[in-house]
Amino acid sequence: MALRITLKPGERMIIGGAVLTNGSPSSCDLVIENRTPILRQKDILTEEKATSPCRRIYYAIQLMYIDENNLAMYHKIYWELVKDLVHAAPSTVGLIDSINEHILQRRYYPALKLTKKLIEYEKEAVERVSNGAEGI
Amino acid sequence: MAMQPITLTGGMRANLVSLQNTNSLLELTQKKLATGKKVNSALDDPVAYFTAVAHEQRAGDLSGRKDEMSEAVQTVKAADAGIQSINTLIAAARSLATSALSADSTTATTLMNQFNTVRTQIDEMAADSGYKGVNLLGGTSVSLTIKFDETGASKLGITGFDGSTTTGLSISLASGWVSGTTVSASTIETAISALDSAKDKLRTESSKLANNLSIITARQEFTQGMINVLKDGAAGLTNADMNEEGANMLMLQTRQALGTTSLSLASQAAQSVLRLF
Repeated sequence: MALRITLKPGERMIIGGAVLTNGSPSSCDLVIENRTPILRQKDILTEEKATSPCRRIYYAIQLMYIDENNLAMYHKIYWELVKDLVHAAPSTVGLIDSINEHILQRRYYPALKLTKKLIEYEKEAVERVSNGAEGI
Repeated sequence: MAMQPITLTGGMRANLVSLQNTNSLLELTQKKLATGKKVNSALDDPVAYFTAVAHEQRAGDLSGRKDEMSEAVQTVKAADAGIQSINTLIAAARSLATSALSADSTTATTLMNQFNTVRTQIDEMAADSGYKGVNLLGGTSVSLTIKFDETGASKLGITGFDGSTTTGLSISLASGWVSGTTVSASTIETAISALDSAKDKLRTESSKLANNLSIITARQEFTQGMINVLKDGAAGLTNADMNEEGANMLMLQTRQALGTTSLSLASQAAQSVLRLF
């Protein structure tokens, strides 16, 4: 089951540990023929931007996905982050549970997608208390 | 004697009702004190209650899976212990054979007999390496399936291997080490090389087991994390209030920003990849 991805000019992505950039002035189509970690530029969170509890969780899952060799280490970080989050915001436990389920079955991409929802919830909850004056 | 109905005045009735209410409040407080939870029944806060119950049930289901994983770990460890013991026995058999090479015919015959005794012990060891009826050294038809989630969609299958001398490890019964009065070096050397390849085979199987063991252990730890989080979440659910959660998360954010960032633990490889974005 191949996956077709269109890359805009200059757009980057990670495919199985390699970083690719579309160097041509036009869009290009890539067909990924086997199962390998794939992350598009828009889905990548850099360390500098991992500034909130849920964003950190996203960052940790992203590391599990692109660097599975160090899974044990990332699991440890992940659990610290998740434990703190669930203590701070218990209502996230349902979403966290689904994310865990995906991670357990090594479906990191769906896990990341769900974590985006977690980040949205966090943004909403935090904005509520800071009167929506500042975004994160 | 017929019972007379008791007539209550309005004031008395009000007193009774308030007394009943106080009683139920008291009961609730006691329950809270006993369980440490704000919500105890579906009547207190239905949504929070049922969600909390669902999370706790799931934690229970996962505990069951975790127990199965612990059992699987024992089975794999039993097999690995068997392999280690067989390795020791092979080393013993090898030294017997090596000694026979430079021995006189009488000693060589004795050594050959000892070799066969050790060989029998290897078979016994291979047959005894099971845990609760599953022996991974019992042949390729033996298999162990470890389910990681409640549905069993995520699982790991471990196939056994044949640890017996005759069919699995190909260590033949020693014979003809001595013909007449001469020690047959070539026969003994054949036995030694058979032992060496058996050892190689065991090394391969052992590393397979170690690999499987680390997968199960990682899953076990992950499942424990899931159980803890579900329990924590269920316990805290009753406090679910978006304003409070927002404030808590903001506080956590500040705390994390001040703390030494555990995120910089990303491996060099991962960092060099992410730095490009």
